[in-house]
Amino acid sequence: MEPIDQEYDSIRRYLLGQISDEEGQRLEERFMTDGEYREEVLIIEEDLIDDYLSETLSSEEKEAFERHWLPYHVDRLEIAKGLNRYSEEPVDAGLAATEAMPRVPGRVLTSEKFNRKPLVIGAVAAGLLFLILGGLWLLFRQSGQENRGRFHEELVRLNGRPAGSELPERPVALSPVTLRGAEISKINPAERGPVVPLLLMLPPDQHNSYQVILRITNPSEEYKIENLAAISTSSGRAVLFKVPTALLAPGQYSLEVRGRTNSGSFESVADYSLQVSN
Amino acid sequence: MSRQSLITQDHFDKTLDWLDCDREAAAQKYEAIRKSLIMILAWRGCHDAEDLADETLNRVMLKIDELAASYKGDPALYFYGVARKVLIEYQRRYRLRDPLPEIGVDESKEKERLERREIIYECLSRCLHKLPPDDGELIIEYYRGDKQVKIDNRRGIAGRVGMAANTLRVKVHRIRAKLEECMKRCIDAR
Repeated sequence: MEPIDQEYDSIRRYLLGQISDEEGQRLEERFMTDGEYREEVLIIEEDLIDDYLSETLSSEEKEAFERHWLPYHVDRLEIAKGLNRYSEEPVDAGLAATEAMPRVPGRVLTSEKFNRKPLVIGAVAAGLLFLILGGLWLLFRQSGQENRGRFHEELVRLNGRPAGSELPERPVALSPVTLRGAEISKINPAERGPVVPLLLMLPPDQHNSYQVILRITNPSEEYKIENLAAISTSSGRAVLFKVPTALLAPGQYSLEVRGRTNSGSFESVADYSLQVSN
Repeated sequence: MSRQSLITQDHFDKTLDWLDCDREAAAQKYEAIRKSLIMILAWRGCHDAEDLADETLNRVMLKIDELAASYKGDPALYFYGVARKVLIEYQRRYRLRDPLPEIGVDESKEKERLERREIIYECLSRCLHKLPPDDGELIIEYYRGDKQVKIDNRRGIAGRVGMAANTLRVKVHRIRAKLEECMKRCIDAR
């Protein structure tokens, strides 16, 4: 078996439909069984797409690419074009693509982002401080845990029943956070009853069952509730998530909806923000 | 009756057991096999690669009792062998069809294409946002520039982040794979 780096040309010719069926079969068998090789083939495919978009393919390769690869991967080419346009877009340019493709706020990549050693030192220092304050913390720990357990039970109870077709009164509709950001919904629990019904509006998706994760920033807490179904509203599908008002102290909250896949694992569907005021 | 309708939870569970005794690992292998089949079938010129991959999986699942008892070797190769048969049947069917008439620039097709592109860009925006911020920035930075500028840019990134060029290439590929997976779900849902 050839080392992967010596297979570059064969893989490239395979993707362009320029090798024999036998050679292709050998390559495919390895693709099915060797994870490292599989990854390399996919990287070479990305290189090929790049080369096509950069117009660096020979005329023969270009013709093979357009005849053999392109008709079956039109979306992938569009994704690559989109990525290129994103990357090329000047910060304040008024390109036609800008509206459809808002820019990720630019930051310069530095090695610090990939080298977290200073964080380790910080963590040790924080650990020492933690020990000093530990005694105080222990005093509050038990009551905190009891509260968390109580709130979790309450969330399970409130969200355990099928949502039904009727919406509760005065639900708070939250839109998914997108790259353009999202309007942060604000609520005042004092103006609410004992339960705040949140309508987490779903982007188009195809899951049958959902998990909602409610994250509280300060103090850092997380609640996960599973087996939630989507309901239909006049604005589209949504997951109804009921939260006890007592849980909503003033502060910033984030929520994530995850969909259950056929294999039973969860994948992220959308994120939401919620601001609770006095 | 379609094969899909004959598949029971028991077939699926036994197939996962055949792939790995650990359920989580088995589910990952199942997904990897399905994705690999879709890619191979598309490279082999199938417009219906996903349907054919699922047909392959269904055929294998319906024979799972026999396979679990007697098949020796990597299950992925068995799936691949069945996929080749499914592909041959598809190619026969495809050849029997009349060729599509050649048409010039069709305005409705062009409109459809532009709408599709709009969906793709919207999904790209959404999925880029769902990446961890460092990953989103890295992939955008990685694709910046053209030809030699791009090569120099990538060398510069590798230097800044302290990675070998090939390690960076693999890292970006993994981010891109996640991005494309998210985008596929987003596009399919439209």
